Amino acid sequence: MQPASVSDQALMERVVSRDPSALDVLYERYARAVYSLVYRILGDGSAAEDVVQEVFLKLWKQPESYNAERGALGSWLLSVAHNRAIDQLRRRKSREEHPLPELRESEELVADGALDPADLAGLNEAAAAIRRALAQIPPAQRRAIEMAFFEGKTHVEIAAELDEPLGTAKTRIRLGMRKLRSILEAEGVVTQTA
Amino acid sequence: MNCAEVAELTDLYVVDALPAEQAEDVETHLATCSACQDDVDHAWEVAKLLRVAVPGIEPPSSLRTRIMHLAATEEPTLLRPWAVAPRTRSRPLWSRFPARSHDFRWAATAAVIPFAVSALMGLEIVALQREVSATRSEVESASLALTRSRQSAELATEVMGRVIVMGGAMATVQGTELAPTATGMIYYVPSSQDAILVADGLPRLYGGDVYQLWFVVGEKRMSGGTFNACEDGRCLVVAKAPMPLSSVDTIRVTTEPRGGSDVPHGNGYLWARLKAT
Repeated sequence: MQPASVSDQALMERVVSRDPSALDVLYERYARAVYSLVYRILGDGSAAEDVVQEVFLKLWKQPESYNAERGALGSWLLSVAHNRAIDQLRRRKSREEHPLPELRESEELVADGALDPADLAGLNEAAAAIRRALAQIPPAQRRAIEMAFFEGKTHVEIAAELDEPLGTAKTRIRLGMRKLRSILEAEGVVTQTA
Repeated sequence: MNCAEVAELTDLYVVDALPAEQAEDVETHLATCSACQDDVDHAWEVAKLLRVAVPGIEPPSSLRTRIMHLAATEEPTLLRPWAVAPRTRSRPLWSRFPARSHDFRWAATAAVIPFAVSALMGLEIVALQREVSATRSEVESASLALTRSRQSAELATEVMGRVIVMGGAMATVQGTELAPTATGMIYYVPSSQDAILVADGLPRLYGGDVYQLWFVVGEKRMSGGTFNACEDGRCLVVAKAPMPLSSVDTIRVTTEPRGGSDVPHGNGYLWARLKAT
């Protein structure tokens, strides 16, 4: 059986039974997405490698951390990597001024169930859809969202950095997110708001 | 915080744009309000998609090797089911002879080399024979590897014979931080160009990479050829330097793409100093 045809669930069962080749296939499948996200956040290849290593070794050493009922594996890996990277970024920026609590185990082990690409193809389709949607919203709104999501900045920090009123930064994020939702709903990528 | 206030902050909450205290206030409300939690879940759908909106960047191939190596070494229970027994790191044979008794040490080491070579071959044969039970293609590749192993061992024995007759030297091989458990020896005749590298503890390589041996003279690095370690991390390599080994400062082993490189590009895994400083 070719690796590409093996489901994530089957590979995770092999990881649980301590089969390193299963971890290798999962790495092949998701390392690029995880590394790309972490690199975008940290902007440092070496630090990004450390986070990716931590994420995959966590999967290997604590496979029970992932609960398939809570979402797709790719989504979970990205969730853990995102949390780790933002945590590291904030600690790097202002460890003494604004100490952050360490991530609690329960926070990082909960899979994000909403994004649920069944497999890698789903992940790639999702990537194409969100990129198209981001290209359609005003640049100022896109920038405010990216500063929060990828740079770990609060709306207060964003307003200060862009030299804008606090309300403007909040509004940009809110409007941008709602436009994204509207576009993605129209494409059928996310569920319709009731 | 009431529902209206939380609704104003939902989008900021899901992209993590709220200061910690405000985020905690939102979470306190969500813990008791399923309607607001539903709104947040909907907003999460969009926020999570942002994670895959980044430009795709290929991680370096060395990261895969490192992760797989760490996965294999940090967890002793990860040995393949057919592994004979967990390997304990006992003192190597060559370290059991007193360093100051150079002649005795050399003679003793030389005496054990044929046995070491035989043992290596034996281990490889055992490992390969176990894999034979898998598939026909695996049998064929195992046979090929076995043949190469025998040829390599025969060549090593021949070179070692010359080493013994001509009065040889040896140097301890050490692993770098990427192969912290790797260890070995290199045997050579300083006036000749042939050397034998025997090492174990080398991590398995992925993505088509191979190990490549380099002879280092000053700033120059000259290839001594490529090789793959056995499944259990051992290697027996006969390498030929482009000059007498008496002029080589160190040997290094790096990972390179299949086929090898003209100059080392990959990470270092082993090194040994040949020339006394």
